[in-house]
Amino acid sequence: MKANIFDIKHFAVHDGPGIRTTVFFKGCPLKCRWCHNPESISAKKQLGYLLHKCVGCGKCVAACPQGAHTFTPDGLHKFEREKCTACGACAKVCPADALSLYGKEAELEAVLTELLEDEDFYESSNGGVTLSGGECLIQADFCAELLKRLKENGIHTAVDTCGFVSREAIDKVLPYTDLFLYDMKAFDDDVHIRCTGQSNKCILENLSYIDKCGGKTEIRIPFVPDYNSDQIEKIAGFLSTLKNLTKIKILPYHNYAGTKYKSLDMPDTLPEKLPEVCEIKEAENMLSTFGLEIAK
Amino acid sequence: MLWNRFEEDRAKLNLYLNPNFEAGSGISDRDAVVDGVMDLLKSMEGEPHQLIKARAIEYVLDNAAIEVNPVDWFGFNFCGWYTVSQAGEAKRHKNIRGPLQVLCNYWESELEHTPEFDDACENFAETGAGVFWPDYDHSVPDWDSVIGLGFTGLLRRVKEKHNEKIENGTITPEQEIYYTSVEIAYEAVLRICNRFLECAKKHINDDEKMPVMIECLENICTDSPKTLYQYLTMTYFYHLFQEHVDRIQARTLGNLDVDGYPFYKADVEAGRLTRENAEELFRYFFEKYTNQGHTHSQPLYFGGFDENGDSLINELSYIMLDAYDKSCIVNPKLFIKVMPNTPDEFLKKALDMIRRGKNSIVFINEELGCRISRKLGRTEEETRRLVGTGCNNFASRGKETTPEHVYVNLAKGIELAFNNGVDFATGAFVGCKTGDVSEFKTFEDFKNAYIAQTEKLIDKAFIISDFYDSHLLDINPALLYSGSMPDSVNSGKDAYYDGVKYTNTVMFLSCHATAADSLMMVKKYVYDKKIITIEQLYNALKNNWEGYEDLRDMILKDEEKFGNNIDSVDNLACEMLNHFTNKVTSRKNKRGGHFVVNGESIWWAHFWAEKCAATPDGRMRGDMLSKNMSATIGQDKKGITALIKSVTKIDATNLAYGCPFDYMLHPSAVKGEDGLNAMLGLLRTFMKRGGYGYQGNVQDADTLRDAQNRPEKYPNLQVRISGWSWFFTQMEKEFQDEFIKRAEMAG
Repeated sequence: MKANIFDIKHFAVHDGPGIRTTVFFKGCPLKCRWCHNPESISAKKQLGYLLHKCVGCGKCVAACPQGAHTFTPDGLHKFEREKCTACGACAKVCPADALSLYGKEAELEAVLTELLEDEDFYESSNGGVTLSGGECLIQADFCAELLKRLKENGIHTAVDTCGFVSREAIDKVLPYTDLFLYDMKAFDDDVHIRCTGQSNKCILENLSYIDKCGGKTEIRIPFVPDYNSDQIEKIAGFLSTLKNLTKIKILPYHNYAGTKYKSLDMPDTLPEKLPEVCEIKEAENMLSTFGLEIAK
Repeated sequence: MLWNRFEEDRAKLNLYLNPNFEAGSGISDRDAVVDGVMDLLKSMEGEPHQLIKARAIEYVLDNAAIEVNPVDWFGFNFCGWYTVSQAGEAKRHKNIRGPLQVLCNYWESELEHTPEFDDACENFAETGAGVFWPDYDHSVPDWDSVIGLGFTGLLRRVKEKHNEKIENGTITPEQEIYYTSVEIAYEAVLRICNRFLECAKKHINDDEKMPVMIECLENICTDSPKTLYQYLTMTYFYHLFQEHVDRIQARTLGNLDVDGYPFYKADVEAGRLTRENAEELFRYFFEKYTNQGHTHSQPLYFGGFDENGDSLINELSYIMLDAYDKSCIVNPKLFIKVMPNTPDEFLKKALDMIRRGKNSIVFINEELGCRISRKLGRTEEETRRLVGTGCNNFASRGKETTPEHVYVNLAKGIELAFNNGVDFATGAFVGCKTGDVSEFKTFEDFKNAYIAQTEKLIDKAFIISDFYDSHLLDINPALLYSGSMPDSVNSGKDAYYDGVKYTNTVMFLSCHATAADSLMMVKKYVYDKKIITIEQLYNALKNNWEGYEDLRDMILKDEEKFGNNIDSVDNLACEMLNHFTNKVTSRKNKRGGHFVVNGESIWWAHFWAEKCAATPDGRMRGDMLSKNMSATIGQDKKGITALIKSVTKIDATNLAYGCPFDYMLHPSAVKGEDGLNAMLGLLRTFMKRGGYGYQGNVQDADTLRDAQNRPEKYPNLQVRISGWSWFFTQMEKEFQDEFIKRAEMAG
């Protein structure tokens, strides 16, 4: 069994309790304006190219079977993405890490083996494994099998999801998931559509469903001024009806991902305005007035 | 006002840099004190060194000017004190540690070298094969005797044993000299304490602290300490005299939290002291060591366990951490013994300090220490009460003197195997003949040559160590130190010779990771994949990779290096370390003990860099070798969990006298309560897997700036903000700048 993933991050500290290893799956049904992992959106493999790191050695030219890399007569590196098949040959030889391949076909057994390597760390810290993305539940069969195998090994499991997935996908992973890290971007549907390109109807329904089935959730609210900053009270009202919610985290928006957009030749959709500390505090206070526990 | 004055007094506490000796109290010119010692040496030429040293101690303590600083609880200084930095960094190992250093230098220069010794030393340090000196730095007095008996009690114990031996007619001439010398030294100590008392009495009205300080000095002159303040003063005085006059480092100040607790408890019960007072007292105490300014820093240690196995971390442990936290200092440095039942709360408090950049703290695995102790044949009682003896090592309390004379560079053997025993840079023959590199037809051939070269360096280290071990008593008899050690007093023999139960000698085997990575790359690229020939690799190394840049890039990108949790290379590192530690530990030393191993490299990984040719792991001449137990910088590409797994595959019981591991984390990776819990999880996992010492950094803006300028040094510097993560060095400059700014703001 195979999945398309773009990273396995060891010593992940903010993706659930304790020390965790996070598997990042490639592909996402939403197009959040503030997405900080743009390499996760496309389900296909992609080549990342950081112009500022290129040392002009020309090794990629020789390595590329498609002729996607060339040098102009004045010595400038030119990369033609339309010719690129994301085979990764150039990334392998690039000495400056200017080229990197996002996405690989990963075998379940290999992923599981790598995840089990850090078992000692999970045990010492009450940590475990988190499946994230992108949206991991697009590849729900793989996730369900992986989670099942992890549970057989006594590992705590978390699924980080945007919730914009089918009920079947939720059902597949529910029995093997100890905690859902569930994103809540907006309550009003029109706001949600403006921010992510999709309706939140099934997101809210899926969250209620997970809660009703007894699935534990930790809610994450990205706080993006002018986009969803007026949604906190409504979100809080909705969340206060849940029974199995463990805590809520506000994720203040940062714009550092600009480099990644450039490296993928993707249009930068990042909002300009950053949240002020006082706005975050205000939002947390609002959540607290609904009796919700805020994670620091 | 007695208390709440530390911040106000702080500027007036450094007597060492700004002495203000009491008029008429003695010689106030340090050079004149040294001249007096030299005159004494000339006048006693031919007498036993112990006796000359005793008279020299007496001369300094009786004649040096003294001062009492009325605003400093520990404001007792005398003109017999030199900082390491005053002597100059260049003279690090001949440094003036006190006025009696001239005796050591003279006696060392007088030693008759054997041809074997000269041969072993030749080009050894110059080529970065290793480094050596006679070591009086890693000793811990028997603090139980010092605190339990006081100076008067220590002197009484020596005299009683002396008399006993005279009366039963068993005393030898050597013992007579020993006892007489130790008695002269301790009598002089008591006289200078009385001089401090008389001086203090003159200043009784200068500060409200003075009556308490006078009472303390009266106690020091007549008895053993009875209060926390007296306990700390006794510790201060003893350390000052042993370290700066006896010229034997008192390498840790003791188990201050555990040994000080009964005094603290009695003070609080009697209403003499509050928790806040105790914290303030420790701030003055720590400040003394900050001001002394040793380049190595002065360690003290925390924790331990009692006969029931319960943790000894107590209220005073927390008070001391609070005091340290408030003072923002790096000296003294803290050594925390960790058992599975050491409270999480205490460890998290220390880890949080590290996270905030107060990182002069090392965690040492006491459970492992106990396993090592049993392996070395120590008794259960000795095992239970291990002392910290330095930056990160254990010894048995009051029964062990373990000098550390020689460091061997395990990476040097790679160069020597390539060049038939000859150093590339100087042409000096420092290894042995293992044949021309073109004759190595298999990896085993190459590995055997490497082993032979390294064994040759170890053999040289044995010869150098044996020479110093045989002459420790000639160079620097340890009088005050010996007087604190019960075994030494009972046997009438110097604690640096065979006057104590355990007389092992440490040898350092450093830079294992660079050696293992190099072996792995030779195996893979020359013999397994046959990408290059051994002759080509020889040329690449000889030419510092010039003309072989592509090959070097390929090798640098190869992750099959120590620190990435890859069994092939990790096992190679373990195999080599096990082989060499077996060789070292099966050898007896010249003081009735064995050789034991420490895996540290400290600053030598840096100082040897220029002396060592390029290595097959992609390292160029001048690049740092692997530091302590960690990976070669830049070669661990898979993060801290993989690095910890690699490091803890090594059987640390073979590296019985220390092998610290250095980690580096970014503050954003460990922020918040989650981050602190993760730091604890790393520490607990490291300990559970049998790691030895654990120390590290949570980097600040300065490091980020360095990472920006030299990204190749920081491939692992992980930056994480909530759910977003990337490597710092892959960010564009403008974003790095922004991030640096944030780090500055956070600091």
